[in-house]
Amino acid sequence: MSRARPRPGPPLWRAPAGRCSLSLMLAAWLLVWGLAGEAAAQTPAPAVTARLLAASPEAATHFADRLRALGDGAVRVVERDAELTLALGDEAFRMALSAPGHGPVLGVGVTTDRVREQVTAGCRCSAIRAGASLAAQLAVLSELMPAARRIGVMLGPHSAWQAPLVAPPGLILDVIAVDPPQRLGPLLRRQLPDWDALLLPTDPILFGPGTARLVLLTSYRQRVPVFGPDADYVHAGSVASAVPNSDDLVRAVRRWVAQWRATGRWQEPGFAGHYHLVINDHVARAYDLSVTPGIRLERTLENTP
Amino acid sequence: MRRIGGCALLVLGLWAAPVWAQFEETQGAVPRVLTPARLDQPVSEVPASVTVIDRELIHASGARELYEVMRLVPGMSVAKTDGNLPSVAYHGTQARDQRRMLVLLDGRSVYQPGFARVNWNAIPVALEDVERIEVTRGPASAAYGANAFVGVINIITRDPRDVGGQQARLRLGNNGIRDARVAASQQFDQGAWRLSVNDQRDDGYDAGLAPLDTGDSKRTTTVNGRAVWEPGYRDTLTLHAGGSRTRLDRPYERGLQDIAEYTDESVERADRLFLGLDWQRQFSSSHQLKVSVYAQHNDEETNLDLCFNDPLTGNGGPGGGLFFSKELRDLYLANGGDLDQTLASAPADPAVQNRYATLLANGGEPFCGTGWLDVSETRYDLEIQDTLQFSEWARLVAGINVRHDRGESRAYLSGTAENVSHRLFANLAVNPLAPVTVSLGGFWEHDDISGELFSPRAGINWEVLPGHTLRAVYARAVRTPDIYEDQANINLEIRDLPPSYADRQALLGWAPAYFFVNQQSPGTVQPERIRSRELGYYGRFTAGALGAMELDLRYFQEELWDLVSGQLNPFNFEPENDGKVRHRGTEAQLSWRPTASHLLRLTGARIHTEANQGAEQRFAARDSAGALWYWRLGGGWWWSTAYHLARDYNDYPFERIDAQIGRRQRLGPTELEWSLLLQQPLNDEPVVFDENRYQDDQRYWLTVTVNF
Repeated sequence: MSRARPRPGPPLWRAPAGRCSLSLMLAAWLLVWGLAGEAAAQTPAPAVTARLLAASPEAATHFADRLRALGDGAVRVVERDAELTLALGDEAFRMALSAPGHGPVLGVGVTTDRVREQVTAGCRCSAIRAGASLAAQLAVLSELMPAARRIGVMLGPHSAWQAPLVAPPGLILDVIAVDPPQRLGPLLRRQLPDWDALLLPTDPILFGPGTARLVLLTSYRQRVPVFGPDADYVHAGSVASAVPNSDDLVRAVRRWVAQWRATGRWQEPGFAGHYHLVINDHVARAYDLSVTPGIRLERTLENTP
Repeated sequence: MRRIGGCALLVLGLWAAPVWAQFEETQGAVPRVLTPARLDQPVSEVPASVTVIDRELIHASGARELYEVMRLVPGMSVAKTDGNLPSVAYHGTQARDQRRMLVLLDGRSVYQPGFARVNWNAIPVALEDVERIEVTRGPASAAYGANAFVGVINIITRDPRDVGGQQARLRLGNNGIRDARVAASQQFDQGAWRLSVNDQRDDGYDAGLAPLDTGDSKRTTTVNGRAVWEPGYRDTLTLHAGGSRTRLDRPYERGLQDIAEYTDESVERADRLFLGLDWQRQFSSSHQLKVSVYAQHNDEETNLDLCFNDPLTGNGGPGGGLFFSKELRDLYLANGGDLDQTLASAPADPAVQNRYATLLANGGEPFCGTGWLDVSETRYDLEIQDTLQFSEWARLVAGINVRHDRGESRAYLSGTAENVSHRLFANLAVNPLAPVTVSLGGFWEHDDISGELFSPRAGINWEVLPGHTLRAVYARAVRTPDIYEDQANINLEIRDLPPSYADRQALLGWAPAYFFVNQQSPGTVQPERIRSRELGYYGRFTAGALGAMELDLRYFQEELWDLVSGQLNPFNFEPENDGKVRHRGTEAQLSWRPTASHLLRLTGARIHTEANQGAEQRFAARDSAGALWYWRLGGGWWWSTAYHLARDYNDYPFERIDAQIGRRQRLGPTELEWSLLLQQPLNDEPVVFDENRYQDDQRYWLTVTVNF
């Protein structure tokens, strides 16, 4: 993929040859994003100036560094007189939009609830949502567990994905609504036996620190592998997840900004679209899931405990 | 390794929040939940062929009794061989004995120590309480010790933390099928408990067909409970408790029918209790300690209500007492235990003649009484097992075990006998290269009966391609003689005689009075031994549009020697290590999921069995096969159908097809589930033995379950 269309920076995904479904999906994504990026690169326009807003100075500094390193000069961070604001996280996004007369604002890593609340018509804003898309997570799951056919997905009101979810051919997505969150335990106990794997969306309420133990222990006891929602869960005991890291978010920012500059309008909020794969080797091995050499290259957890 | 799967996970520490969480100031962190996964051994790395029967397969099979799901295991001989007594044997040899395979329930052996058998009717668990069953096909004494001879069946019950709500179930069918179940569970802050009570009844094979004239109905009641408490995130305490009560109609003994008339039905009454406690501590994600202690006790007794015939006239009368006379016992011993010779010479023996005259002078009341075949067994077991992943490429499971067995029987042992065993075991798995796993294991044990024994196993698994593993295994194993084989002293006492026989010393020559036939074990029986070589393949892959497949192939050669092949009953007692068996063959099992809604499972085995005694081939089917198709129709409906073939058991082929339809649906806060199952034999042959016949071909039952 990356050979077919060279891109600046490291490849988003090194999928092994022969993994058709994943490869095609990613190739399509890369083509779309690559074209968008290339279109922007071919326009010899000056850099867009952006102000960074984050809850912590360290986060802002780190992101600015990555933006400089990977931004290809398209976005330049400035302290004042910026054309737009990049707001990192929920709180910064809220603050940026609450400022009187705020200019264009792009939220980065914003949870679903904040997106729903804040991104309204005329807000001159958009957001790169926290988490990974369903398609990306399903691609990870299918890559590691091709035998899985019945995939359980548990959604709450705050989940990054909302029903109805569309299942790719050959898979059945059994979507279970969990509301209130206290129903999570009973529903897990009841539904897990019917599933080959459990796929979790990003959901700070349903799949946050307080429920990891319940979800992972219950599923492991019943030998149902869990995938997603993020690197943290993978390290905790989930098998694997597609995860956007800082560099992936920087690339997404470039894409959003390029669109904004080309059209004067923000594209709709969405997921970063660039991901890294994180795998918990030991959990994958316990489930006898094959971690191919191509995927081994991308595993980033458990080797550095 | 001892464990194939495992369930104790651990909150070990904290880890960084997701990448976007660095943007926030108040984002919490997810606790790290790891992992026995590091310590568990995946099936592809286990040095043995393994069949896992999970809840989906159990559900799809429609099995009503625990032993029936064993038909899903390739190479497993499964049948009710003796009326209502099921026999389950991997690479079956003798039809009635259950001596050569270890069965574990949550790690606790249900192999009964005193009389070397597994009583499938009395295993105190219902199918609904089972999470999964792991069957290790092949000798596994290196991991489990003596009696894991041809294989190991490990039944793992449901963790109460995974069970929600309450359940009531009713099942009705022909052949007297009347089953009921109630189950309860509760989650609490640091744990959970569950408890179930199950009652099963059926009429067995058909009553009224000789020789099962009195029927072989059975009633089994089991209680199974489990509680888990996590006092801290490193520790898990699990309490297991339960028991069973069985009432089995037993057919009349042919040997006794030759000399006596039954006056009442024989019923085997058995009660079992067990209590176990496991403590598991996760020192780290790579080090785990488990301490298990359990006690179990079972009592069995079978009544023999008989009126003994006068040996000279063949009719009822006081002369029947001669069979319990001291003089006839002395004659029997003088004839070296030759039954025919004793009976032939008795009329001419003066002492016997005098005793006969004494009995006749007693008044003519028939000699009627009750004999009891009683067995009582108790086991205490303590095991400490340490699992250590001491590097990325090496994992060691090691432990010690102390076990005390006690058997008591007035009929079979004429008292009490004990056996204490001490055991050490270690199994090492190393990955010298990423796709290669080398497993080395050994189990040393010493017990009072057999002395020192050592069982080794070596295996190598090579993942030649992702998802495709080749396997080579060499293993040796032993079956140790049980207390009965080693210390049998058979004395069947007669009780509840008429008042006119109160003075037994005067009338029978001794008190208490025993049946004249006596058997005593010489105490020289040696352990049975097996040597196994195996080449195998395990694959888990997708085949394009055909879907996902899991395939296991096994080619094996097994040599069994020093087998105790003769009968060991009161009339025939041959405790000799003179049996030899050789198995070689191929087995295959395939699970295929062409789509998300369909599961197809195929098993097959072709086994060539050579034995120096015919009895060792009765339960050895040369060809066996099974097919199971499970279809989730949608809307809560499902359909399954299964086909079972074994050709032959004792020259009788077994062939049957099952079909099941059911539905699960929610009704407000409750869930209703019902299913209808039909079993249709495909031939008119008896099962294993001529007396095992059904009068009606079909078996069917309706099951209704309410979860709330």
